[in-house]
Amino acid sequence: MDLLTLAFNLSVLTYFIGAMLKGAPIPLASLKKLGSRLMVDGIFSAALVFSYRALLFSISYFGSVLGADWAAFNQWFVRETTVLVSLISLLKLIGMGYNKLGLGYLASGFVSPLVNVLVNTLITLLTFYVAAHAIRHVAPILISTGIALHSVPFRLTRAAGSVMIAVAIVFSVGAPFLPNFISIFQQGTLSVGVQAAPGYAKAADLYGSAIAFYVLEGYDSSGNLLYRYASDSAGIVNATSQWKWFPTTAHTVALSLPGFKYTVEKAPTLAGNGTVEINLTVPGVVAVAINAFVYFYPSSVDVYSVQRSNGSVAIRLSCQNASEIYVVYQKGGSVNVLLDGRQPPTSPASLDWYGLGFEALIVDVQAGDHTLVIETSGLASSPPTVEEVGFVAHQLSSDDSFSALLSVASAAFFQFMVLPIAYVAMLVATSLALAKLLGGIDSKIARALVLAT
Amino acid sequence: MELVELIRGLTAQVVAVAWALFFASWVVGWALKGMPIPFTRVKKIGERILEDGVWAAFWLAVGSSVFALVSYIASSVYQPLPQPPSP
Repeated sequence: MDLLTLAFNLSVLTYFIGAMLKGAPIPLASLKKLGSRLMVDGIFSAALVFSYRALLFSISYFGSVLGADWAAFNQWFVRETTVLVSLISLLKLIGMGYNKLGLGYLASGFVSPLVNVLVNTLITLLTFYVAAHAIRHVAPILISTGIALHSVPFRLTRAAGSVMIAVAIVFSVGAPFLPNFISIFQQGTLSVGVQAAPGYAKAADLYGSAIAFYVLEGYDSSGNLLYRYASDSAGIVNATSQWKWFPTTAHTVALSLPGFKYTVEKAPTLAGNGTVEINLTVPGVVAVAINAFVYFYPSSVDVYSVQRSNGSVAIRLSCQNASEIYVVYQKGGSVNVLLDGRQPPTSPASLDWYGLGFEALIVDVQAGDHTLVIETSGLASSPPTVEEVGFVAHQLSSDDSFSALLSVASAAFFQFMVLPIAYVAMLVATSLALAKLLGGIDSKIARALVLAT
Repeated sequence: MELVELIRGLTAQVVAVAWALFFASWVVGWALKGMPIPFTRVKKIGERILEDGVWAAFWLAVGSSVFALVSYIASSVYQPLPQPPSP
């Protein structure tokens, strides 16, 4: 790069100007000191020119030593801007609702300033992201320009050059740690005003298998819906996203499967890191496979054991009175039912559940011990289409008091505007300190060299 | 590259002037030392000018040699610096 050649020649020029001043037949001590200083400056600048590659390498080196992860930074940014945008749209919806209800003064006097604040926050976050990526991308040019400025004789642009080099290094290394910095302050700031915490729900049957693709609903004591979440194929509901979460108090939890519903009064238990857990063991169901279940009445049927092998499940049970057992599976597969080794008479039925079609076989079982074998082949396993209702989102949109909205908006303002600005101030302070090291005020070594020559 | 050539020319001129100044200070120094004036202060000034001049000549010579060597090494080991990363 020409910049480095320029920088090298400038530092050589500085050195010779210093030597010239030293050799002038003018017995002024200050002139000689100036000459010595110029010579040391020239050598230091030349050393910087040759450290260009080392400076560039230090960015990646310190990044890897400190564990900087740009991919995680990008994902965090996308996630948080989505949260902010949804918060803004939620507020706009509420504002429109107020307008419709004739409470326009609330919309303009309260919701609009909140939306303005949040839009400014979004812009600040976006600016930080763009700046971080821009500086990282342009770091080589910044550093070489900084070195060229550093080499100008008489220290005319030395401070500016040092600041450029320092900013390039510090911001390239430090920018991806913003999510870590913000997470220090993130202990449940959103839940002020709403009794909720992030967490997971797990459901399994009584025989060791997880239940896949169920729908988990929560109701309060008056029967109002609090939340509705769908589980994944491993039987886990992930409600850690900021609009979901679980209520921390006891409430009615309802697990529903195609043709089956289990309700229980439960309070989430505390797991680690401020998350909660709802663990359900569901009686009355055997999870044969994904979207294939066997239901029975626990009051009249006792299941002793469930044995699984490739494509078939053997259930040993005992009935106290004549009862019905339901085998339900998603349409598209085929299921063979054997009761005590023979095909029992079954009444088929079909049902739709959250957009999926299921077939049901109703097996009449007499009192006594039986072995039920279910053989499955080619089973379909599609997730249900569930319109989820997040607990926090639901609380906020139906809450009459403004404190919840205010606390959410102010938490977002604090996390995504105040904290990034504070972090940038920290990075700037670090860059200035590094710039001072690179060429602001004389360090002790430089002073000693100046006195020696 | 014009700027670099300009700087190089300037440097060459500065080096020439520096050597000229060295010779000037050498002459002035010995002149002051050899003057038949009975003030030691004058002699001391002369000695100081001479000594500074000789040191300057020393640093000039060292600087020229080192920078010439560095330029030679850099030009013989020259590799185009890597392009900045593309997005």
